[in-house]
Amino acid sequence: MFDDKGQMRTVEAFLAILLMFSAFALTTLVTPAATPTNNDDLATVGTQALISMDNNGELGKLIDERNWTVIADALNVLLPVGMSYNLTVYDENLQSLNNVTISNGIIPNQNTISVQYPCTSQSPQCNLYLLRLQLAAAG
Amino acid sequence: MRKGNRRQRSGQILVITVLVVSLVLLSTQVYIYEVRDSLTETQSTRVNDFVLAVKLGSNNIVSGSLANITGGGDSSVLSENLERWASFVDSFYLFGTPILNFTLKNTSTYINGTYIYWGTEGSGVSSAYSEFNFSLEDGQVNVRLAYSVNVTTSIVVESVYRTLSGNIRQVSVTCSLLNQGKPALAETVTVLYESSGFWNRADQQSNYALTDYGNGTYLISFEADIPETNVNVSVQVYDSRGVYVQANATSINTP
Repeated sequence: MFDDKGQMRTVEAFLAILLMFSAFALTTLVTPAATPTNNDDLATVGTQALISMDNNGELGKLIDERNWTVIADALNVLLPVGMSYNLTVYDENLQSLNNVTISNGIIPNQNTISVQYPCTSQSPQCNLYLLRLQLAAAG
Repeated sequence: MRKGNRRQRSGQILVITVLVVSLVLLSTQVYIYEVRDSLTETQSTRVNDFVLAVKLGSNNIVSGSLANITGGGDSSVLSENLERWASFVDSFYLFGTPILNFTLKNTSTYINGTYIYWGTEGSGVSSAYSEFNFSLEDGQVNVRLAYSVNVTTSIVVESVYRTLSGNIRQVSVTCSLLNQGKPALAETVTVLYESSGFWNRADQQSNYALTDYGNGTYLISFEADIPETNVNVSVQVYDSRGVYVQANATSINTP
């Protein structure tokens, strides 16, 4: 008595909508867009930590004093928990200055990014420094 | 009957296939758009951070150069240090080659970016000023920024004295320190007074006291043997950036 063709088409339309939404959901879940952003986020966090230390010329002053311990302590506070770092300080002629490792642990070989930061001191000598901060997120 | 059903089903399968293909295309578009958007945003953030680092460095260089000049260094130090800084920045590569240029302020008061006035009427100024042009150009990034750096340390000195007995004077000196016109803290404050043509340190006299109000104002009082009725004092200050400034003043006699 009833024509079930219309019902089948309605079911098919629902199935198509369901398929569409599940595809969208799947795309959102597995999108690799987060991968490049993570590295850039690391770089941004690292640079902003150095900028915070460089305000009022404090970073240049600490390097002038070769006070690597305080620099490491400051980075431990400023960088998020779970982030590994290794800082190398170079002078104007790109000679390494820190005779001790400024780091909070082992930097894994993979997924490590490097930030370069130009820094100056407010001392009358106006020393120029290049900071190379290697960063990696734990896990 | 079977042939008719197959025809109907093939039409439905075709519609679903078209839907799936368009869905895949759409998802790819969305993915590309999101990745490109996030990359542009983070790239912009990193460039902004680099520009901020360059501005901080420029400020430090001008400040350090002024400390050098006011400490007895040659006035050409500012230009030399900025040249070093500019070529240091130019050697970086970050999404493009940065170029930093500077122009030292030259006016009736500023000569080659510096203005030093250590007056005898109670005011002293040590200042350095430079304008900068920073550019960073590449295929995707185009940054052009003009900024100026003004490092100015100034003091205002006021002094009064009263005679205790004979030539013994009780002198009070008030010194206000300013950085770029705003109250600032001093690293050291040294007061000298003139007696019989010689300048003597006030902190070696009896009853010397220095009160730090914590807002850039310092009150120094002392007692000294000063034969002259014109009591001249000199205040020498290093601010927290190491910039030196001084000012002389004549104390006003109060009963």
